[in-house]
Amino acid sequence: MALPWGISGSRFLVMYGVGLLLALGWALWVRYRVRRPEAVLGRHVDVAELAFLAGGPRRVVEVAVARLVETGQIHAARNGLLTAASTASSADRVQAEVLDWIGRRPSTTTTSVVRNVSEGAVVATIGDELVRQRLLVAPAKAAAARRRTVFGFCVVGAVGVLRFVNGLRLDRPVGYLFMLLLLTAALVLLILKSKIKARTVHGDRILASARGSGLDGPDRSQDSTVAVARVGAVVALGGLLAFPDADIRSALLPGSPSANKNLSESTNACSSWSYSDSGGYSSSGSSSGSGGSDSSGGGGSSCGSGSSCGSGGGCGGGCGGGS
Amino acid sequence: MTPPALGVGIGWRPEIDLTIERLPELDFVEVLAENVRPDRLPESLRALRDRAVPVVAHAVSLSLGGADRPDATRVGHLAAVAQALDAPLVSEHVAFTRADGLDSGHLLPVPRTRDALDVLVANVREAQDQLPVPLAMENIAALLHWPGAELSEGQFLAELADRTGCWLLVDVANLHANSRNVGTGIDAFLDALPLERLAYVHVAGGVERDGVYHDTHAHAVPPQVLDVLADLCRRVRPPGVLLERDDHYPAPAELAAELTAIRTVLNG
Repeated sequence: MALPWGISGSRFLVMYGVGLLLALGWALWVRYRVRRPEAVLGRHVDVAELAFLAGGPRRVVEVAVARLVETGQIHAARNGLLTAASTASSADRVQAEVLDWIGRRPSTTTTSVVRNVSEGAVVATIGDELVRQRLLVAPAKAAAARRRTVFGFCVVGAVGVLRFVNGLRLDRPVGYLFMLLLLTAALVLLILKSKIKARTVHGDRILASARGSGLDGPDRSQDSTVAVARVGAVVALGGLLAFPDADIRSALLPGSPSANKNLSESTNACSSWSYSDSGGYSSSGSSSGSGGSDSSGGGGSSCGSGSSCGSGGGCGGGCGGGS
Repeated sequence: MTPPALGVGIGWRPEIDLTIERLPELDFVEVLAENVRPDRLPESLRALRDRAVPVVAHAVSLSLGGADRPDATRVGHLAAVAQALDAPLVSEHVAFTRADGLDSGHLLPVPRTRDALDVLVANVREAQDQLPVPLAMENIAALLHWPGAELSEGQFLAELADRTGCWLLVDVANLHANSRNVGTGIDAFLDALPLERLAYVHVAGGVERDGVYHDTHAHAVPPQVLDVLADLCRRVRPPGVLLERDDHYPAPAELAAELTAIRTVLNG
């Protein structure tokens, strides 16, 4: 009897397996390349950009809220409601957005402010600048890369399905091929689920450098301006969970059981994040620092998006070679 | 019984509870009794009590100046709040808020007649019988006075204190408002009061629009109100002075500055 397509079943299975391996290699290569654009020299990031790198758009707003609270422009109450001071104003555009939001909604919470202001144009421009500096992968580019990662699997899988249908038609044994097709489908789902980190490796290095510089270390300054800047840096790197004052931290994260967790634990927590499927800069899998601030958001409180980022040791080098 | 020394304080409001807890040199606070449950005190008030900051319970709805007898439930609530807070005293207004089943939602002035005083005295005594701590009665800001007054506002309060043994809470912002709006003489008012019965003083901000002073509690304390406080302090050193701020809360530094300004006047 003639062999289907002139290839024996066992030989096809070997070829299919090789095809799967090649598709997997292609997927990993695409993911690897998209986070490694050519570096832009002379980069400089401010606290808002650092916050964006560390925790996405929501972290930027968290920093603005933290600094407004620290400067007395927002009253944070134990019931979780924020009230803008009657004379509050800010030249900082994100802080101005936060004040405007609170001013228009007297009984508002950190959750509401962070969720809504982070989706605004002002925060998006910070993301745009980070993309321009190649510290962030552009959301559209990340989405395209995710689609490209499964291209190889689709090609291999299509051939496998044709062979499977043909085998059924000729009444050939197709059990092993069926299992390989299931494996293919599982790999496609796994890769689609495993989102690409938003930061490029250059962004990882900037963040690791900021963590290494001790910006988020203990405050020993008596200067209020320095203290406010330090609160901004601490929250940028660790989220509101890192806010140094425990009572205010609980007020900003009402109902969050982790609001009382150890400060060093939160600031050292790994904070990789990736884009959500809703488009733009909206994030999923936000950092441990900001996770508690919005229980209704798309993010969890876990570290990142399935990357191999280790815990506690800073994300720069660890995440760089990951997804 | 002499009113306790309270110092300089601020009206506790939930919107600024953490701000209040962090104010430097805060000697006492006052809480609106109707806004708290004695069995579930706000965490902030418990924290202040743990720091031995006295908390005065202030009522706004007893309507002791009304023709009806005091509502036992409302008085009971005030008593329970006072006990839960370990309050050194409670306070209410010389006013009525209800009549014939209708609730005004505002503090309305009592006619300054002998008959109205008799009713007020009876109501205050009845409330005092239910309260575990002394009661201080406060002068209100009124946009009108009833015709046929037989006593001045100062005389009315003095007789009330004399006949009931209640303490006095003098609101200098209300006094300033009455001076501007209905012609109350500040000196005559203060001269008539038995100031040894003064428990504490209210200070608040307001704004004058179209010739009418509005006691808003939402603006900075104007110098004229501090001048009235200074007039009072020249006569007696108040055991306590409390800043009331109910809306448009300024930054913590501004609240602290207002308290400092009050303390400066108090210390002469």
